[in-house]
Amino acid sequence: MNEDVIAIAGRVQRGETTAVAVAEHALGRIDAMNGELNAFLTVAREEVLEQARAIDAKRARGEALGPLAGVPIALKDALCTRGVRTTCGSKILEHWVPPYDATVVTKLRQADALLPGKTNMDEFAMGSSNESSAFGPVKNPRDLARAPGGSSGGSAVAVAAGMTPAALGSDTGGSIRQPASFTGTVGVKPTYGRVSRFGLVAFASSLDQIGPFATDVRGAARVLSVIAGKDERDMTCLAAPADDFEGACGASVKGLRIGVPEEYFAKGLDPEVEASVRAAIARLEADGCIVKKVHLAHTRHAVATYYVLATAEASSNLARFDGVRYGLRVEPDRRAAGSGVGAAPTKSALRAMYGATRDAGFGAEVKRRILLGTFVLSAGYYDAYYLKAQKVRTLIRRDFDAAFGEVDAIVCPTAPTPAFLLGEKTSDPLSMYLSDVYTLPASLAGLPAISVPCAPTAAGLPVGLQIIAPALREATMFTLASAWEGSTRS
Amino acid sequence: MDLDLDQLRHMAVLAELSLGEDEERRLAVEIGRIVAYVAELEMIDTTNIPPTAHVAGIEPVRSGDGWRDDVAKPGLSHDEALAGAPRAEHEGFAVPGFIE
Repeated sequence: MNEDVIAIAGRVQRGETTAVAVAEHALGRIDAMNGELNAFLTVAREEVLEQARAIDAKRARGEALGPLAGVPIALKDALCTRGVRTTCGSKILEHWVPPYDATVVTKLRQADALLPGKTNMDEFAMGSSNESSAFGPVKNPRDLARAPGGSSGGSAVAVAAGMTPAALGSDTGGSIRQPASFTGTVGVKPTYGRVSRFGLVAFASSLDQIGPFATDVRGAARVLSVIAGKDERDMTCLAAPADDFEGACGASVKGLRIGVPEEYFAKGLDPEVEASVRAAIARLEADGCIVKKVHLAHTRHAVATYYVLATAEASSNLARFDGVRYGLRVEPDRRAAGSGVGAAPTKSALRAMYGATRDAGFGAEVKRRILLGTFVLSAGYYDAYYLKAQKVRTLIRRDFDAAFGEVDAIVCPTAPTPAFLLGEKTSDPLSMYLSDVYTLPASLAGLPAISVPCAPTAAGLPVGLQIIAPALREATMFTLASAWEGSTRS
Repeated sequence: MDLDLDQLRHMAVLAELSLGEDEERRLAVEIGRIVAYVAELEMIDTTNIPPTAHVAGIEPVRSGDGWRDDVAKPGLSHDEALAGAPRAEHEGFAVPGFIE
């Protein structure tokens, strides 16, 4: 009974099954598979059964149930959950239990969703393979030797392996879309500001956005319609009314103009991925779309731009983890504190505690990014790196503005390759960063984008088709994605 | 370009990270390589291009056409706020000495 979001909600609403039965089924799948896949860091067994009993009681009283009635939704462990630990994939938050819920978690509860647990992720969402998690990598269920993508790899695998029909992730530079592509699931990064970030542990605040994974496009649309909308606790959350995302699924694509950017079919693109994506574009054309070439000339600078801006923001955001208000604290050996070779001035006991805590609590990738971000913001380098990258970000945005003057959506690969092997890129941080080249531009421009599965490779590895829409035009993206999905199922 | 060790140590001080010597050497090489890569940005003509700090216009949360009313709402209790602290004393966050 591995059903999709819409089917489960309908059956629970009509009383054809109970929320408790659905919760028990999800827990059974998690128990059977998580030992091998490592997708969940925390299983909230008692909590989810209690939620299920409350939903069943509500129905028994004759009350109407919400749009996600009894639908199990896994939560990336960067989302705060009251009373359930939230690690963000880091040792520094290993035992931290938030005293409040993220706004998206509150909205899922109000929609009568079931929340069975928290999923594994790259530490502080910094990574593209899940290998930077302090709690070991997630395995890709399509091939256990391969990475599930990152950073929301645990959420992608929860859906791909049929543990839950939907999940939430967060996407800063591709952290929902790339794992969706690697695992054969649907993943949505909404317009920046569409969804409240309150209660999402911050990585790069001008880029972070929460979005859904699901087994199908319509399920993702329903979850997004529940979590979208303004929130007085997040000043960057837009007041724009939510469109009917679910209604947009199944609408006709006839006459929609789709742009194909040649810069996304460049050197480094796997030939099988290219063939699969081009076949999907040909199918959309056969279904009535008008295909046009567009140019996004600054695409190739997106990796450099992103790794300056995101690390700068991260270096500031992660300053809060200092062993004082929450998380790990390490008291250093007083004799060693601050009196290293070179006779640096003696640090206060407070600063020695900060340094020892952060050294012990953060993993290698997080330290690398904090230091890089500190460097690009430091006196003498700010203009050359940080300010320069902000200007290039403007050029990347203008590329999209010009393209969307001619087309309704842009269609391209989500990632340049199918899922790579675990361990393949860990010794070379730069090659890992380059695997995000096709997802970063939409992030920098704040645009909505979806990854939807297209034809797999000969070896059976999933490939993702990425559809990017203008700001707040998620509906167009859902229309195209559901048309493509429909054509693969007919 | 490699970041030299003095530069790397200065960044570590600014970022409040106590690093081991092996870690310092490794990070100087790795970060140097990334900095060399991002230096490609220098080649792009950005004359008269304004910087983008943020894609959304950030405005204070409003209701209707005015400021929202300043209404007191329940927040975290004192105990809840301190519950995650590694050390709490005298009803506050406890820190090691910082005045020499």
